[in-house]
Amino acid sequence: MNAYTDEIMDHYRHPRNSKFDPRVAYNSTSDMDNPSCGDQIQVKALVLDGYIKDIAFEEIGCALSTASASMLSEMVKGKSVEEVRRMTSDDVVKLLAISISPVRLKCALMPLEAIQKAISSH
Amino acid sequence: MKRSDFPIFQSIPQLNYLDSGATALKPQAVIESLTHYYRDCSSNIHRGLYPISIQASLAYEGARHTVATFIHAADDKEIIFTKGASEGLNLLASSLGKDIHQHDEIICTILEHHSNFVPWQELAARTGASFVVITPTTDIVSFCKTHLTSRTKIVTFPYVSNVTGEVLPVKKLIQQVRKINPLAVCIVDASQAVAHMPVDVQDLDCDYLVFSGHKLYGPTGIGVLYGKQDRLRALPPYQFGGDMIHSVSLEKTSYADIPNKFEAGTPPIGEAIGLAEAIRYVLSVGFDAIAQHDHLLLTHFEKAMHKSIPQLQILQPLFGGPKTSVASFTVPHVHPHDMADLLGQKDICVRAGHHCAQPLHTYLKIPASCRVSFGVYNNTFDIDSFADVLSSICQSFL
Repeated sequence: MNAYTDEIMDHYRHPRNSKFDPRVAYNSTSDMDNPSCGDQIQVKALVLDGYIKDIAFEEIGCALSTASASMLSEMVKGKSVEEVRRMTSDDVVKLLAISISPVRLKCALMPLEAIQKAISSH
Repeated sequence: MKRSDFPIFQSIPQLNYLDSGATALKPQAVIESLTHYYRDCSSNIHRGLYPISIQASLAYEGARHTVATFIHAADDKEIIFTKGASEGLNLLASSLGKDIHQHDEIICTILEHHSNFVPWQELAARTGASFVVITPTTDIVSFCKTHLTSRTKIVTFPYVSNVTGEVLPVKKLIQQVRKINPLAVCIVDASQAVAHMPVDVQDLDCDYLVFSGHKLYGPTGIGVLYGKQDRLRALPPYQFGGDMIHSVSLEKTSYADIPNKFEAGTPPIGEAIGLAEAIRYVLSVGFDAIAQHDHLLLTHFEKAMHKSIPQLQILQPLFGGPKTSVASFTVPHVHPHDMADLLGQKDICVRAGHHCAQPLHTYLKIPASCRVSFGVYNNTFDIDSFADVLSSICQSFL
C-alpha cells in the first residue's frame, strides 16, 4: 500500500505547527536525530498543569517523519502529559493511516519519541 | 549482458537491481557450488581421514589458491579467509594495534566506509595515537608528501569509494608513502574494486588488502585478508582456538604458520568454495568486458539523469579520480529515503542514507544521499526505467 497518501503529502508540503512562535514561553524542549538517514527534529512545548497547551517542531526530514510530526503536533495539543506519555507506535501508525515498512517505522516514530522526551520532566 | 546467469530474475522477472555496491546478486554457478558442498561433501576440513573430508579440504585450499591467483599474491599462504572486509580490517586494527603507541599516527581518507574508519579511530583513542583523516584540500598524493612523517605507522585507503565511485591512485599513493616512511603499513580496502577491475597486490605493493566475497557475486560470510608473508608472520594472532595452533601444553601454546594462525575455528568452508566459483565466474566474463559495461552504464546513467531530472546532483569525485560503477546523488526537496521507498515499491532497488560513510556526508554537508551501483546483469533499460520512475517521483514532490 502506498504510504504517500494525499494526506501525508499535504502534511509534508504544509507541515502544521512547524515554526516556533516567539510569543510562546515554551518550557519543555527536546532534540533528536536519526543519523542513519540524517533526520533531525527539535520539539518545543508549553506544558501547564499537566496539559500540553502549545507545541511546535522544526525538522529536517523525509516526508514520513515530517508528516508524522505535523499530524502528531495537532493531535497532542490540549492532551494531558500522561496521555501522550502512554502513546505507542500503534497510535502513530493509526494516526498516519498507512502501512509502514519496518525500515520506515523509525522515520515515523521519531517525532513521537521527541515529543515524549520533551515532556518527560513534567 | 549476463542476466540469464542469475536465477533471481526467474523468481522476480521485473527486478531492477541497482544495489550491487551493497551486495551483488549470485550467479547459478555460485549457488550450485554451495549446494554441492552442503549436499555432497559436507564435512570439516584439515584432519578428516575420510573421502568427503579430504574432498572438502582440497576444495577449501583450492579456493585459497584461486583467490591468490585472482589478486596476484606471491603465495597461497598470504590469503587469510575472514567473514568479510570488516573482519579483515578489525583483525588488522587489533593485531597491528599491539604495536601502536602514543605519538604514533594513523592516516585514512574522508572517503572511508565505516569499516575502514571506526576500527582505526577506536585504536587511536585506545592508544593515544593521532588519527588523521585526509580531506581533498590538496591532491591526495601531495597530501602524503606534506603530512606523512616518521611517526606514521598505518596508512589506509579505499581502492574505490562506495559513495562517489571514484578510483584512488592506490599504486602512486603507496609509492609516495614508501618514499617518505618505508616502515609505514599500507592497507587497501578493495571491497568496491574487486568486482570491477583487476587487482594486483604485488604491483600495488600494498602490505595488506581486504575485500568481501558477497560484493564479488559470492556468498555472504566470506571475505579475504591478503598480507605480505613477512608482515603476516610478524603479526600476532587475532583469535585463538582450534586450527590456529602448532602445539598446546599446560604451560604454553605455539601457533601454526600462516594462514592457519589467523583462521581459528571451523572456517566458512562452503562459502570459501562459493567465493572461488564467483571468481571463476567474474574471470569468465572478463575485466575488459566488465570495464566497458560499467562505463556504458555510468555514461548512460549520467545522460539519462541530466535529461529526465536536471535538478538531480551527482556527488562528484573528491580527489578527481576516474569513476567506476557507483553513483550517489541528491535531488532538492526529495529526501533520499522517500525516493528509495517509492522506487522500492516498483521493485527498483537502490540504497538511501549515508552508505556507512557518515564522515563523508558530513564533509559534503548533506544528511544523506541516494545511490545506484551496477553489476554485470544490469542494462540500459534498467537505467531508463529507473529514470522514468524517479522522474515521476520528483514531479509528485514538487
